[in-house]
Amino acid sequence: MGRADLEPFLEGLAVFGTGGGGNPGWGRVIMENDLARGRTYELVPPEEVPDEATVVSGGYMGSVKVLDAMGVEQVVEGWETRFELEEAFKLMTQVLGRRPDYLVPFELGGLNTPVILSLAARLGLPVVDGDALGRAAPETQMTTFLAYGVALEPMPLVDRAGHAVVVWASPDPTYADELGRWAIGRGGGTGANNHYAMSGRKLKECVVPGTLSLALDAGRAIIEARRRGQDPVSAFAAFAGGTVLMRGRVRALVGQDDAGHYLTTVTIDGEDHAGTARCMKVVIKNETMAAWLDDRLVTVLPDLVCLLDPSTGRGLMSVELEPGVPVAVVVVPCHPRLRQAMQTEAGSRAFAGGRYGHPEVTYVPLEELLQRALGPGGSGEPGGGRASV
Amino acid sequence: MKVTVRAVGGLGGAAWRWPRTFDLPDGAPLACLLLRLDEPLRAELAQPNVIIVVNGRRVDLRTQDHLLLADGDTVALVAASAGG
Repeated sequence: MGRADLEPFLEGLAVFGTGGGGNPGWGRVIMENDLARGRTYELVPPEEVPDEATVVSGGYMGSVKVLDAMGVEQVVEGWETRFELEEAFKLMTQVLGRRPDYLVPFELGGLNTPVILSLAARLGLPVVDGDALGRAAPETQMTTFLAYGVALEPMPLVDRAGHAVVVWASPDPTYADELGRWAIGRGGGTGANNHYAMSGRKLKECVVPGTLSLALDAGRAIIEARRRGQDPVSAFAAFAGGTVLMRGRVRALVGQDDAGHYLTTVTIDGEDHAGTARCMKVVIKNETMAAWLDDRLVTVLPDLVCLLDPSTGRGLMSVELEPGVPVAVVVVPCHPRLRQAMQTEAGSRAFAGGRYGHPEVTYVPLEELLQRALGPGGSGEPGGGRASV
Repeated sequence: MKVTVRAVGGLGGAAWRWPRTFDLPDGAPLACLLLRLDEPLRAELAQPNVIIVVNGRRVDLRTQDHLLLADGDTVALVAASAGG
C-alpha cells in the first residue's frame, strides 16, 4: 500500500466505518507521517499466515473529542516519542512470552485501521488483510474473533497518562471493554490496547478476509464515480452489494443515556428511488446499530447501515449528523462469517440489541428484513455487484 | 427533593462511589447540583467528551442555570468514548 492508495483507502474506511471507527482525517495524518518517514505497509492475505504464527489485534480507545482538542498533528508527532499502542504491544509480548508475528485490525475505521498499519510498519511486521467486522463497532467484544472462540484477554492497555493495566481473564466478554473505558477515563481520555492473541490457524477460521483491500477498492469506486460525474452513492452500493434505501435530510436527533452508554436516535426524512416519501430512524452508538424504515426494522448489527453524503459519496461520521444535514442511506449485508458468528452463543451475546438500548431487537439478516418491510421487488434502489462485506 | 447522580466512564474517581443521592431545595436548577459535586469531578465536566444526561436525555451544559430539576430526577455524567 503506497501513497496513491491513501485517498481511496481512507474514503473506503470512512464509509465502512458506519459513522465511527475514527475520523479519516486522523488516518490521513498518521499514514502521511509514516510514508514521509519511509515506513512501509505490508499487507498479507490471511491464507498466507502460517498456522503456527502468533497474531494479535489492538487499537485506540477513548474520546475523539479529547484527541481533537489535543490536535491531530501534535498527537501524531508525539507518537514518535511515545506511542501507547506500541507500549501495549510490548506488554502483550511480555504477557505471551513471545513476540507476535502478525497484526490484524479488529475493525475498519479511519483511525483504528491506520494505527495498526502504523504500528506494524514501526515494528517491521506484516498486517493481515482482514479484520473482525468488515465495519466498525462500539465495543471491544463485538468481533468474529470472540464468536469463534478467541479470548479477548489478555488485554494490556496503556493510557495517555502512562497507566498500564492488563485484563488477564474474564468469563464476561464485556468486562475488558467496560474496565478499559473506565481506565482511560481516569488516564487522560485516550489509551491503546492489544487483544485477541491467536494462532495463524485460528485466524484463518475467524477473520473477515480481504477487508482492507475491500475498503481500498470501495474508495476507488466512489472516487471514480465522482470523477466521471456519476452518482457515487449508487457506485458504492453497487460495489458493496448494498441497497440505497433513501436519500434525505436529518430531521432530528434524540440523545439518551442507557445504562451508562450514550445513544443517539437519528430521524431522517426523504424519498426512496421511486419518489415515495420515507422516514428512517437509525440508532447510533458511535456507529450505526439498527435502522427502521417507516417504523419497520430493516437492518440490525452487524449488517451495515452506511450514511453517505448524497452528492460526494463521502462516508459521514455520526458526530457530523445534525438537523438539516443531507444523507443517503445504504444498507449492506455483513460477511457470511459474521452471520455464522451470530448463530453462536458468544456472538449473539456480544452483538445483542441490549448493548445499544434495544433488548427487543434480535438479529435477522438484512435481506429478510427488507423483504418483510418492503415486500418482494420493493427492496429499494438496487446495488448488486460484489458479494457481501 | 432528592436527585440521583451517576458518573460513568471513569469520571469522579472510584466506580463504587456511584450512584449518589443529593438533597437539593425544591426546584433547584442543574447548576445547583453541579456545584455540590466534589473536585475533581467538577473540573472533569469541562472536558470536551463529557455529556450530561437528565432523565435519559442529553442536556446542554450552558442551560444549567435554567434547567430546573425535580424530586426523583436522575442525572448521569458520561465520559463518552469510542474505539476498542
